[in-house]
Amino acid sequence: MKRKKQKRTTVRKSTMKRRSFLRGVLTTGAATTIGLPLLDVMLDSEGVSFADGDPLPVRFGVWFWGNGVRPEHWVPTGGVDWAPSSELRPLAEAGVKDWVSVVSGTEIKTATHPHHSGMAGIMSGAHFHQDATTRDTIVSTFAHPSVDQVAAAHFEGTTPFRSLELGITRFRGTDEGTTFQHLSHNGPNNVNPSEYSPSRAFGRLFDTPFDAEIDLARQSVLDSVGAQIRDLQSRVSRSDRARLEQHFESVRALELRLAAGESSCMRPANPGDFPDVGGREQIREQNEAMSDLCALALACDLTRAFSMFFSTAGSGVIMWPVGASNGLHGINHNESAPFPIAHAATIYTMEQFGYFLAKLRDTPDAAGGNVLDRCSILATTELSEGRTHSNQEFPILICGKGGGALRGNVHHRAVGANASEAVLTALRGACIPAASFGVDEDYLYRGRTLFSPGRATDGFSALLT
Amino acid sequence: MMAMIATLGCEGSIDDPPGEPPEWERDPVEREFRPAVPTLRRLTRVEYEQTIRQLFPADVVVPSDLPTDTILYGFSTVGGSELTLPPLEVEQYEASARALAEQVIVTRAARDVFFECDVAEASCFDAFLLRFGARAWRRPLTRDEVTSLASIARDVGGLLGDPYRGAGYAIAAILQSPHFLFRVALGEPDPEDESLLRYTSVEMATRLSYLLWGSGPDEELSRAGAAGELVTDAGLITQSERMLADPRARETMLRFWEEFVQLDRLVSAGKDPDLFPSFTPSLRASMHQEVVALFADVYDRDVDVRTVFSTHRASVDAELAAHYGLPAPTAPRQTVTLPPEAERGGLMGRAAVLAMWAHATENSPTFRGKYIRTNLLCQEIPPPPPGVVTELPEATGTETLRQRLDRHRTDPSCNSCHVLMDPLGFPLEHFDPVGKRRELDEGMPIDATGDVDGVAVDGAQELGDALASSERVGACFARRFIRFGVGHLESRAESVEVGRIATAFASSGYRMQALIQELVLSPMFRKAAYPESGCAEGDTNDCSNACGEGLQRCEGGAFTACSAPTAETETCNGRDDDCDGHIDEEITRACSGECGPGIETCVAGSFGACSARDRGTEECGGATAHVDDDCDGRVDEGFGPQVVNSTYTNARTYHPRCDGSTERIGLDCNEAFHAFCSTAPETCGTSGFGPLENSGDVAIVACVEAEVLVTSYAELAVFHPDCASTGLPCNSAIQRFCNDAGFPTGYGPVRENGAEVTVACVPGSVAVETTYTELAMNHPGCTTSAPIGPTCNAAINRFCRARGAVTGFGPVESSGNTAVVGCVR
Repeated sequence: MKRKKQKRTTVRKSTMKRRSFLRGVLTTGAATTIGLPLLDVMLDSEGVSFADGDPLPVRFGVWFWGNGVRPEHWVPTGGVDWAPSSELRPLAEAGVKDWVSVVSGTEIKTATHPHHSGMAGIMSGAHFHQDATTRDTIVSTFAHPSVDQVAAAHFEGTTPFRSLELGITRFRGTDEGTTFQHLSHNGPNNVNPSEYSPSRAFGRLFDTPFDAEIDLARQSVLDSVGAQIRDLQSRVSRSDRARLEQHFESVRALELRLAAGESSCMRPANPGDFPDVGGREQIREQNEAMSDLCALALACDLTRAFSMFFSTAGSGVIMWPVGASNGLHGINHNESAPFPIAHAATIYTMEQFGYFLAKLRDTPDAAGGNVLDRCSILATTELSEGRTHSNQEFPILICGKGGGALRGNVHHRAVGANASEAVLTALRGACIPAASFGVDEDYLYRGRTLFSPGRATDGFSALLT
Repeated sequence: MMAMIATLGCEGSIDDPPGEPPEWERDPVEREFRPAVPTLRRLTRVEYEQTIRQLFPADVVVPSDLPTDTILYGFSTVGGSELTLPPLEVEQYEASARALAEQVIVTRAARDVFFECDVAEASCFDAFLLRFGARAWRRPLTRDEVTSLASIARDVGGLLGDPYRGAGYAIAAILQSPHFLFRVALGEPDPEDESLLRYTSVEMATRLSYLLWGSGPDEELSRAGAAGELVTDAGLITQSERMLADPRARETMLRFWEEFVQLDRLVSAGKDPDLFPSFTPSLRASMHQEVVALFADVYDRDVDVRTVFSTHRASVDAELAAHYGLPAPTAPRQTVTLPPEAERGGLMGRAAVLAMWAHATENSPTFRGKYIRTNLLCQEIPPPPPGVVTELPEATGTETLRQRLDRHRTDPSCNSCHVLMDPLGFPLEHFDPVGKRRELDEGMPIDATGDVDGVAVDGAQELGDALASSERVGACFARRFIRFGVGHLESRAESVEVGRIATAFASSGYRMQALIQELVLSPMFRKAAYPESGCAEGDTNDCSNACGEGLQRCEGGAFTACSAPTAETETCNGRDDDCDGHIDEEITRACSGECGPGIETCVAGSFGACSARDRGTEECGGATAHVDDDCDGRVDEGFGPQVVNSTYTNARTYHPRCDGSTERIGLDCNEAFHAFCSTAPETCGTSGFGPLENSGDVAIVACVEAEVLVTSYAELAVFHPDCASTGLPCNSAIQRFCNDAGFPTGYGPVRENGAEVTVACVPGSVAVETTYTELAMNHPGCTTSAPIGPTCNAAINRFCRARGAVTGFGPVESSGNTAVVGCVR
């Protein structure tokens, strides 16, 4: 019979920029299973920051759904403590309205092609990027990082995962480039794909056995891979150099995570996966599993930047729970007034979002209160409505309390304002000191030079404390 | 209802308007051919899997959690040239590489097969690295590369105490390398045209093998590559003919066909289960197989590939035959000839394609027409600008779908685009959204007339015949194959060569073998332009680093060496050797003290004190608590056991559930008291138990010097079959487990973590047999009817103290009135 001595935690060289969370654990001398994600003992006596003075985390997230809303049922009335519209009522019913602010009336200032402009416009504050060598098809990508990656860059080095991307309903769009297939971008064709398998997401976040020696061995391999990438970079074209730079960053990220040692976090049960039943996507079950994983990952401070991709831009998701038989994108195009399925689909989508917010609200945070109190979440889509594919009257919600930065429960109407202002507000709501969001640029589109005024330098102070 | 696309301003922005020659035939500007720059091509998912299978023994399982291809411009190969590796995918490749390496080192037999010698011998392992590395990286390894990989194996092998595990990490390193995950081809100056690069013979071996086999070069191709044969037409012809005869080439061409048809869409095509209950997963799979077989047939016979659009042949199983209204086949899968009255024609009339390009409940002549227009004719349909209402006229209930679409097209702004799609889709109106034949739509007869660029057709067969005789369809097919093969969107500067290949393809009678051969010999496949990075003559580049200023000048399309000080490996010398702005960062070395190994960390040019301790006098208190100060293998000996007056308020900080109300005794409190006794500065020893006595917030705890061992319930069950948690059976099991390990007594579990169960064996203790009658005299609550718990803890504590011990725990065994307790002295 084999017995081993109890492992002692060994502290190795520290390579993360700031490892406040892990450092907190190590000072307790007990890098072991713990009942709550963040322990009181890691905090200072007032419970407002880590024992070593680092501030407690505020997180930034994106919750995205495709194909817009029905504006006549979406825009609420009132300002402070707004009165819910029928499509926003699910959020009130989920008991999270106090955390939800609504921005109405803004528009994408960089609109040329509805889905592509809407997606790249709201997520990156810029015109989409189209491969210049052809007009063969509409295939586009992002020229600039998406907002979740702006936040990820700000938080970089504080948590084991730079960002987290989870997908709910699967990609049912067309071959029109990364703009249609992915949310999180770091530049042209540089995407963070969403994980659509709850069990794989669980494995990546929580089922990572810690073994100091094995992890050291893995680091030595990654180190050599990094050196090979660096060496190769000097010999390739400029665009390949940029691709290899991301490869290097990705390798480095894993290396740093291993170097940081064991994370101390409650391990949830593996949620399993949710294959189609009778040809139908298990939308609610998938949403709940992903929401639960995301909430715990945030509570454990595994990441501070995330995106929940409920459906893709122009998604053909079949919203069967509301009686839809065809894909949502097609229904949006073809349904006649009063658009019953598009309307019901939006309500259903908000019910799923309501579950997510309520989950964050019900997840305790080390700082006291709950995780939703310490989040700023931009919830939005790529169109105002599917029927006209308009990029005006853009649907935007800013949710959470941002650790005190966001007021919550305010409806702010800003007709004709740049939607990037709302995005900037959400970033500032996560205490990210961004001077601006988006890009003003001249852009060549179909042989014409357009001016794309995507940049915003002001947020909506009505939403901030 | 499928008005997918309607637009204003459609006219005048179409790449190849119907009726006009393709762009490459009419664009007068770009007549001169210029190849693309070399691009790193990421292995697609299939290429990765096939390459792994080629490198590893047949019984090795390729992990399934691998990056998913992003399809760009229709093909995974284009996505592979454009996308990079985000953190998630690096993690997937890392996990895959480790899982693969693990499989070849896991057993003695697997090792012998894979390494062919003893890897502990440097000569053996270097030879292995040269052999395996060259196959994985598709080129010979440099001496430095071998040295670097060998040092990984040596270091890790030493760390883990097993040279084969070290070798496994070297294999994992090879499989995570950019030289494996990317196909690196940089080219060399082209002797025929100094303004261009050509791919080297070794690089051509890789290009050829992935084009034709979707995998790395075999031995013969590597030989030809190394021998310089693949920069000549003759060498390429010899090798490609040999490779095309191999079944792997057929598989690769069928994969191209699947991507060309976009068959992956069939998997996600949702159909209303109430309307189409027959659209089962097995029927879907059979439909998929039929479309693959269509192309396999023309490929195997090497006839005009356009035959796929008109052929009557169909590969069916019983389910698909029934779907098509055909008699059941006599074999599980059979190729049959569709009867003329089926009127399906070839590809466009087959169920998979009809289903992919339809909605979940109804047809879409627009989708079907759009597919033909954009993918079979290579013509563009622009999207509607924002704000255009794309809604179809409301259904009247007295018209067919076609009639509704006809009304839609009376609006000129809609017509300009719909006229490009609908008339190509109408001939397929005899087939419903799952590709079943139908005679009526909305109860009315179907009008299946349409036109293919001015040629009137009626029904799917005539549509198929028109496509099968179209030159444009042939040219478009060539263009798509070239795109798949070169892995990038054909540029305008390449269009003259694309046109030349298309023409040669036509002259060959549109035979696939001829198209492949044309591409293999084409400069599009063999030549490259100098990368733009490259630079313009005289450009300068600031390459300064932390060690100093640096500049590079552009000479002959490439930058000269950087003039900044060279970065070297960081050593402990007070200098920033690696020029990253940090001095002596992260440098440690092993050292040893009297008490064992430790590390020394470099600070400002010299190594600091060794972290290992020197021998001292055993002490307890503050920093010396729980430390083996005198290095005798025992911790805090002479300072225990201690009885500590503690509280649940204190215990809660060690385990949140042991708070006096949620739990007062049990596993979580065991863990709390154990942690308190083994870590708190005010306690001595390595473990503890309790509560000996408890009342309100007070919990009295004993801290002892114990040997803390990790076991499992499975192992403990060997000692007592009913041991699964806290309680009498486990008390017995742990007692016997500790006896077996040479200790007089033991207690626990003090901690559970997954399958691991931690217990404490107590050297300075003695097992004392007593009775519940006697224990009850110490505390009346400890009886045979309550043989374990807080009252027995108190009884045993008092019982042991009365016998001169400090305290005690148990019962470690019990049977009837008999109880054995552990007393600690």
